[in-house]
Amino acid sequence: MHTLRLVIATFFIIAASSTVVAQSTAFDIEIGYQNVDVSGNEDMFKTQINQDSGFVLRNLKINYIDPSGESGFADRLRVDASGFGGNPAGRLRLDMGRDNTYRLRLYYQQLKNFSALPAFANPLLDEGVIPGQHTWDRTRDVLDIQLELPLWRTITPIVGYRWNRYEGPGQTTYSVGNDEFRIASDLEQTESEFYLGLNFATKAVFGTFIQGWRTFDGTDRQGLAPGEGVGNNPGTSLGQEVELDSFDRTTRSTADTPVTTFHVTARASDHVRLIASYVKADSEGETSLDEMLSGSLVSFQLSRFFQGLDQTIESRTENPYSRGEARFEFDLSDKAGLKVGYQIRERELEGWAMVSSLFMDTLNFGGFDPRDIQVLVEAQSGYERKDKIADLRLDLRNLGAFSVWADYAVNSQSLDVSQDISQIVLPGGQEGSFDRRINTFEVGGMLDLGSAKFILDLGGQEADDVIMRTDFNDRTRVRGRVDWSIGRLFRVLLTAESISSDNDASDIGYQADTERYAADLSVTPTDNFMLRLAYDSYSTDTEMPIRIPQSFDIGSSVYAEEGDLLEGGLTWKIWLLTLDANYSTFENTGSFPFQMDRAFARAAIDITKSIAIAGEYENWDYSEDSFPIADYDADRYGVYLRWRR
Amino acid sequence: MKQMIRLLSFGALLMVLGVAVATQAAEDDREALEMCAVCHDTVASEFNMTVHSPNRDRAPSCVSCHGDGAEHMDQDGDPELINVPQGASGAAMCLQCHGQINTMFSNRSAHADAAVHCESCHEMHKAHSAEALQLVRSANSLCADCHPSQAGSFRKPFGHDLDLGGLQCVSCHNPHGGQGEQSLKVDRSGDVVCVSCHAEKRGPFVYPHVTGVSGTCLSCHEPHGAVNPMALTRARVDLLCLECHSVIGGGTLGSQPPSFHDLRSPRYQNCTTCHVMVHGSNASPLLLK
Repeated sequence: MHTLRLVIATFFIIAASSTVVAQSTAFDIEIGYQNVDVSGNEDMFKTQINQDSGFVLRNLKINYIDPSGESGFADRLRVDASGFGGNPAGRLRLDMGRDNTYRLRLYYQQLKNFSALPAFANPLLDEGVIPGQHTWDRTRDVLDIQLELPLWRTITPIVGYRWNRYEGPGQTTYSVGNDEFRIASDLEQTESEFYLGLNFATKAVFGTFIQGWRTFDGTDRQGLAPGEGVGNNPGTSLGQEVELDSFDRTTRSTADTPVTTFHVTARASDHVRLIASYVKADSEGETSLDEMLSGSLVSFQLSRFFQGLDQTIESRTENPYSRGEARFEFDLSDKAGLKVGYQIRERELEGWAMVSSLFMDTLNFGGFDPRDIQVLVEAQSGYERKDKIADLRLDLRNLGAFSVWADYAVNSQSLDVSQDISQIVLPGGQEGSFDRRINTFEVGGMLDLGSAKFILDLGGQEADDVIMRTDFNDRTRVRGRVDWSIGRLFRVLLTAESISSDNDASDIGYQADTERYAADLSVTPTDNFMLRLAYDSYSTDTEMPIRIPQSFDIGSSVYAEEGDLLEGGLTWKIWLLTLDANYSTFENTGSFPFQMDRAFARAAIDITKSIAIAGEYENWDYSEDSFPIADYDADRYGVYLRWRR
Repeated sequence: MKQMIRLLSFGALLMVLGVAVATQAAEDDREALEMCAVCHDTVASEFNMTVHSPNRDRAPSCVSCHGDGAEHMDQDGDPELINVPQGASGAAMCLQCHGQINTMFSNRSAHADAAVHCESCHEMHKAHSAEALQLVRSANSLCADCHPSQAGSFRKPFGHDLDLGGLQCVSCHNPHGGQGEQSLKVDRSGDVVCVSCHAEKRGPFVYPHVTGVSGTCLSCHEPHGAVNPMALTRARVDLLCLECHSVIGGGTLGSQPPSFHDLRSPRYQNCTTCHVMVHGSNASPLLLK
């Protein structure tokens, strides 16, 4: 709400100042109040939509231009903002500057994140326990400011700052002794980056050099959620109730990352460009975790019961990354271009952790041998990954009504993963060396007949090996599109797409197919009336063998979906009244059947040439076949005032 | 010393000449606008109020893009005798000034092929454009014109919010071409665009999971819209995990869960009930804390 007031106050200050200067200023502001009424599962509504009652900035746009350049503070200014208040997201963008003096860009965004899902991470759903275990109600604020100072003709210094804060309460789980306990979390995390650099530009060479310093600082304070000491396992472990009396954990993580980026483009001639870029980021992180708990607990790792745990964990990571790229672009003629590039990416990680655990008042499973046990574990981890990518693109354009293009790329991946032997507690691939080569091609073409365009492209990828089981070794995509219009009266867009991925190795047998078809029709018989109809249909079918943990039998992971979206809308302007209406219904069948219908209507009346009032109604109707407990039906009513000039 | 003075004097003379030439060029640009405005008064008055206004330093004029219009004027405004930048050649015209757009990403932009060019999304003359960057309409609606399937994906119940104040397509994709597949943006340090907002997932972690090792966020997530509450690519979490964490034949990265993970019990149908730090952990190789 404070942010909303700040945005509105900013608008009036800028609007007032711009009228004093009396240059070209266009602005458009719409603000109002909305009321949201939810019946059914409010948590699910907030998880998906999260609209709330309150004031909302529907729209704010200011566009100020001083073509004479006589204004003192700026010869151009652009402000865009929307959301905030009752809306779960808000955005403010400012771009202002003065020729040969400065350019300031500011971007602020606020996002409210809510998650409380009855069907997610909740083994007690069948017993009527509704809240999910992983839930949160948090806010993310992002601020991005950049100032360019074009004081010289060839060199423009740049200074910038980016800030990203994520905070708020949540719940997670603590797992011990065949039981999970709900833990309340209070999270504060901030990532910020300050950077300095310069743009340079001469007639033949231009580029950018930026040096940034990024820091991350996060603290998560966790404690036992009220009334949750019995855990989610109603039974006993080895005849003993497993309960938590107290739990406190504080985790603090920091990371420092200097980031260097350099990019240069040289025009060797009107037809040849050489491009090079280099990025280096050396990230170093540290984490400390302190955890204390007491209760009646079981450790299968120690084969003991215990009454308390005092654990500290200290860890460090180093994660250097670099990327270098060179590219040549040749305009062979005004109808043909050739581009060749080569890129190398390298990323490494070295991790170290020291875990000190003091298990207090332990007893063996026979109930004897009381003592405290100290366990120290020091472990290291690491990986090294290198990608070398070579690519080639040829495009032929304006060949009469035809244009065609073709790409070819080769990506050679090399990955070495190492784990401390003491940390490998499960069978299977937790370390090893992997090499994979992926060949990618794409060909496409367009037939442009003026009022109708036909586009078809075909892409494919082949890999000689896989690193993860879900990696493909063969992938094909075909996409076609038709765009046909008759002036402004009629436009139809047709899209069809098919993607097929598979890995036919005998021990994997992965197959995934997706098809999508979409049609979009708009009819505009007059300037005052527009009708739009859209249909989107998709189906996806994925299957691959898995090994079922409890039996070690081979089973199948099957995922299939079929969805249909039908949408219609109209805009109709009748003298002073403008009507907007939209309705969509989305039905999904398959692995997760659900239906979501949305309806929207808005009526706006122009009181004067620049002022209008509007009323809005919106409805969301959501239902799931498998979990009807998630269903909701929500209405939103809003009244808005619009002022534009 | 005398040589230095001569050198400085020569430099100053060059600068004065340069300024004089630039001033004359700006004057020519303004004159061109006035001549064009005789017929194209509406366009000219709008254009004069844009960031491209010829009054601005280093700004283009009518002739910068449309060429010399003398013959066009002599022939009573014959439209065949004036250059109207469109398509690939029009893009080349724009890129003479907006070169960084071309050179940063040119090879990876699907839009750089034949189908979509500058004027498809940007309106160069419009002064009072409701959208930033002289866009014809809102960025989201422009994208949806050609990508209706992707636009439809956002109708799924779980995913990113594209409405008022939320994300835009261009928050993650660079329409001029990104470093990643699907024109996805990559942040300055080479990380996938997701961690620009979800900074806490960036790490580095002592025990990383997929991202950076052998995949990206997209290995498990469907950001446009999904049927899983965490925007996963599968409706059931255990099946998603087991597709990698199944040792059948070996040779791939991913371990097999132990046998007490009985999938018939609801608590094991969601692996993240216990493996809460699934994006990476600094404390637990099993991603438990």
